[in-house]
Amino acid sequence: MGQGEEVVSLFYIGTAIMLFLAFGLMFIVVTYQRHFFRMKRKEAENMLRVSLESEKNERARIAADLHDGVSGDLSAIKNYLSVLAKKESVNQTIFDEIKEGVDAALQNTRAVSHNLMPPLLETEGLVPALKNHLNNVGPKAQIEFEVITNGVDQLPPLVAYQLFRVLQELTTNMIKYGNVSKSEINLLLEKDSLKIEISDNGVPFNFKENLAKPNASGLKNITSRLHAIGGTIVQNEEKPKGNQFTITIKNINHA
Amino acid sequence: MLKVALVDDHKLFRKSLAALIGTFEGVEVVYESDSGKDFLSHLKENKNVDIALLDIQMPEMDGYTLCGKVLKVHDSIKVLMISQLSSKETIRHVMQSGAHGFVTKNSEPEQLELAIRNLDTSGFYLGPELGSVLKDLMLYQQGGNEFQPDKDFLSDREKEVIQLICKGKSSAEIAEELFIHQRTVETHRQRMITKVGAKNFIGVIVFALKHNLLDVEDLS
Repeated sequence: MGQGEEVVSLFYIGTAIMLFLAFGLMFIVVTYQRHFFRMKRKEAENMLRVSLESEKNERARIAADLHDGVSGDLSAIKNYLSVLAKKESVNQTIFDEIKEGVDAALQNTRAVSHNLMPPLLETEGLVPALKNHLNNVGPKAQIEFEVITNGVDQLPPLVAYQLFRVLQELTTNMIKYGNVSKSEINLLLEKDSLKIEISDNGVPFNFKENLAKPNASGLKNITSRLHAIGGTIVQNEEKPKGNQFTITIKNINHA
Repeated sequence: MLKVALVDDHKLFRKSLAALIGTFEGVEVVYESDSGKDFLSHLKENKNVDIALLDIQMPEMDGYTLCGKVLKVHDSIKVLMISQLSSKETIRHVMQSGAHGFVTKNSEPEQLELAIRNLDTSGFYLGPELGSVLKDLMLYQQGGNEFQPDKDFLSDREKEVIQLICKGKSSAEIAEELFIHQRTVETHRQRMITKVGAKNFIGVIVFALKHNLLDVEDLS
């Protein structure tokens, strides 16, 4: 019955080959899919990076145009007004109104420009820019901000910019919703990683829960900005009063 | 007539500044330009400038660099920096550049006039901006094992002169107040600049504050 055995073994061999081909095909499909997803993710990351970078450049350009151009024009008008007041007899009330108007326009231009691009960030780095910003907003909101650092001046510009925006968002939230009176920001550079601890004494809120809400654009901003520079944010366990966050960026110089 | 030169690349602002300065008594604008390079070559041929008003942010050559070069060409010129910027860091750079004073572009015209007159009479101008950052400035510069002067490195008379100069008094007024000769006041001033190795009198003030030879309160 040698023929029957041959058929059986042929059947087994055939099945093995078919199975092998089937698995091989599946393997190829899965690998390709994984590769495809990885490419997609990389592309999305690049897109995020590019769009954040071009946002930064565009903001810087508009801020500079406002600051150098429009402010200069307004200062010029102010000078001419003074010349006018010295030479001609003017209606004092109207003159004062105009002067007040020009001063207000100057201040607004300045505020908009600084908001678009903090003036010290490019030249002096993250910490002076942050301190300057908090000095401006803190007293008005009656919040005592304290910035403690061990010398983090040499951050790559894009990292410094994104961190500034993240810290600005967090502190703006404190001012808007937090009912905060005291806040501390601790920046610690350890070898190649940067750790930022932000704490306040205001109303506690859950970062993750709030992030899931549809209108949490500010918080989404924070996570995507951090993502672009390889950073993470975690909320330290909730306390009855106050909040504490830790931002970590590893490999700071390659972020 | 006090002769003033203006260098600023913002044309409208420069013109308005020239018009404004033209209304100050005894002051005239003899030169204006949008380029530091042009100003330097002008200075090489004509030394008829007493005070130079320089913008900080300019293409080609910024105000700090220009200030250093101007003082090299013509060391008796007084430089007043005028800028849109007003941060502590800016003022720190202004002081390091050897300029004699600083005003912001938003300053009131009276302040600008006072600055120009102070530059003429006492050789420097410490505006509200400069005064308010002096303390921070000292903190910045502290540290390092540099030279530590004795308490009496500056004599009482010298300290008196610094205080009066900071109040914006001219040499003649100081001479009158201290019952000394005007020439003596000038000598004190020069001696102090040499003694602390400063570029100008602002350097002397910073030095005195930094080494606690004077208190910030003494200056107001």
